[in-house]
Amino acid sequence: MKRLNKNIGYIIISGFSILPVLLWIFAKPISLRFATEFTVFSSIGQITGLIGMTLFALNFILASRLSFLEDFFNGMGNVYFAHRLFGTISFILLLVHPIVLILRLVPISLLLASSFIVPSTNWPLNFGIFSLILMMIFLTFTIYNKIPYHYLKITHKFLGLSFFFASLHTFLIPSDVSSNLLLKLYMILMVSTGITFFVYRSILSRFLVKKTKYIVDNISYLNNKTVEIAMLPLLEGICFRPGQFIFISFYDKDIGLESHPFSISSSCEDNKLRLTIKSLGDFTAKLKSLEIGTVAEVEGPFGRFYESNSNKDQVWIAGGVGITPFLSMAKSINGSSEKIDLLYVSKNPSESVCLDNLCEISQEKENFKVLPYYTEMQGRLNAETIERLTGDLKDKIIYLCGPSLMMKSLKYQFAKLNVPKENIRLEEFAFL
Amino acid sequence: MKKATLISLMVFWGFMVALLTAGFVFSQNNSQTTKDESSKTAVLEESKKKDASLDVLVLSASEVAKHKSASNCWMIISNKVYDFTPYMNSHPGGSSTITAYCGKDGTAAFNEKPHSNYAASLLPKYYIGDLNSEIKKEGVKVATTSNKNTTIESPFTPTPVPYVPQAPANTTVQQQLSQQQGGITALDVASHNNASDCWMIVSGKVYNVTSYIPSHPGGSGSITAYCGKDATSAFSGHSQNAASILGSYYVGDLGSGTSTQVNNSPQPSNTNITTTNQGSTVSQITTQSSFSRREHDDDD
Repeated sequence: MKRLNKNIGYIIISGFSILPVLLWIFAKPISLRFATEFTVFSSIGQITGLIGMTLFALNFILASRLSFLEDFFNGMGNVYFAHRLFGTISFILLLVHPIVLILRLVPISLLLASSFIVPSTNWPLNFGIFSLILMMIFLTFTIYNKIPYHYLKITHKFLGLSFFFASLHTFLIPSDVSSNLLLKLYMILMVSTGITFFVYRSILSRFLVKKTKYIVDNISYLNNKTVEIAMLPLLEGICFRPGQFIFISFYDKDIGLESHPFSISSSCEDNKLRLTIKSLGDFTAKLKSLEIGTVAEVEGPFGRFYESNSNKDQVWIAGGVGITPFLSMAKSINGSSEKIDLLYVSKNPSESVCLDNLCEISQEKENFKVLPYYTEMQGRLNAETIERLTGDLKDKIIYLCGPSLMMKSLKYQFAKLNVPKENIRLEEFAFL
Repeated sequence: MKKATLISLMVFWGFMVALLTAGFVFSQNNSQTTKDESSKTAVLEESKKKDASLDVLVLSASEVAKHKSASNCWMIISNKVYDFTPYMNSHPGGSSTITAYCGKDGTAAFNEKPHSNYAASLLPKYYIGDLNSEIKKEGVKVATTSNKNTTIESPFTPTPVPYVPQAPANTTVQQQLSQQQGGITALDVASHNNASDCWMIVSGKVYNVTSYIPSHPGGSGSITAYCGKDATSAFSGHSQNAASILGSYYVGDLGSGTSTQVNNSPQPSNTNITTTNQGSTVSQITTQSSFSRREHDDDD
């Protein structure tokens, strides 16, 4: 597939969110918009509302898991990153929206201003208040890390309700949206897009999205925390490229039907689909009760992490369970000329699962070398150490998958060593 | 990103809590001051019995000058006397800007500083009486250094004017007449049908919204469409905030032919207003017998 500009997705979303502001500007002479303090505040309030609402709507597209998004954002991981980024911007703008609109009333009457935030018989305003309250409640769940992933996903779905109220508010409140036809049509388009994608993802996806059934064939513990689940396709397996991930849900009451993202650790040639899962969160701990014979539903594959067609030397850096995409990638290495060094970072030898596997592969394939690195003995890994172990980094493609802190820190250090940004590929692991 | 979200959430809640508290305190203050006023009235009532001659107070410039502190602030605006004491803390420009004019004539300051129509609509609430008119003391906070021999010191005699709506220049005499005789007719409203002179009817009340047109959130076009017309149904979707703004542009009721109830005319609590046939309103004290007697004494 043709690779579009890396930022094209961001440019498109930004364009769509700025367009209503342009429509708004041309709806009425700009001098009237900023004539008095009152109108200046009204205008800022309207702008924040328009952009916030558009981003809110478009964010439902980003959450839809549709594969075309990967072209625009270069991988589903980045789509989710964009989803978080635009969601945050939208939320902040929608919080500013009422503040500005209330501030304009303060010089007139404090009592009037404070009555603005109390629900009354003014339903369009009430819808706005409800929407914002719901948004705050459910996003607080999202921000607060300690909540189990599956609860988090359920609460996040309630943002659809918040969006519904926000839409009512947008169209019913007297404003330029209700008086200017073009702006109204644009917002109707945005809102209906948002609702469509929400309905698609949360209701229709179970019927429309193609899911492949697998049966759990083997469960083996690689150490006390890490488990490898091997699955056989019920009919025909999915076709994937090394380094991709899938969403999987198990037909098991105790585990729950929620789908979760995992990297594939097998290669495409393997008839079994293998997942290597470390018990980190709530869900992965529950997987211990998984039994052989359980049916699983697989959605995917997703991701654009690995491009095997580049002929530059490569450095792969795996942190802990971040080894999983590299397992798949290593198994698919063909005997081409480029040199590949895998730096496998873990706390100690007992934590570095599958090391034997990898060593076997490296013996078979001359261009592939595995360099285990143990932080308990050698200290934290830094860019200089990597350069010392693998040679000059500037002309190499660096693949990085591991804990987000490690990736952030290494990315920063590579930038200091003048490694070109486009040579660094990251696999984001934080999903929602 | 999380940090940004958390910070904006905190700012949001900080703002909302502050606003609600302020709104609550504001409303409490209002009721507090009215309570204070009524208790003071009671005290004054008693002192009145002791000295009937003190019942009448002339609102001379010198009398106003005695109320020159923030805790007791009278002011003259356009030959009308106002007691702004309860309003001091609510002034948007800060209490100090208004305190500077306590006891003085604030007409120029009120007109020069950017005061909204809403500000003008607040004035009647604090109205005591016209300059140099005589009012009963009860219900009015008297200066502590009350002088028994208050006299009219102002060099000019006020000529109280009728409080009719600001009729635009092109209003015909006929219209004014009809307004005075039977309220404002739909025909009158229809003649104010453009953006530079825009009246409209909402729920049987007439509003002059000319100066509000540029501020209308839905754009000036959507409001000017109703100039000179009945906008009741168009206005029905508006917020309570809009309703309160509309209130400040009130001109009068749509006439049915009974009384000339125009504008929210200043109604001093204890002063009776009689309307003469010529249409001029004169504030005068009509009930207090002691006062009339005294007046006659003076005449002699």
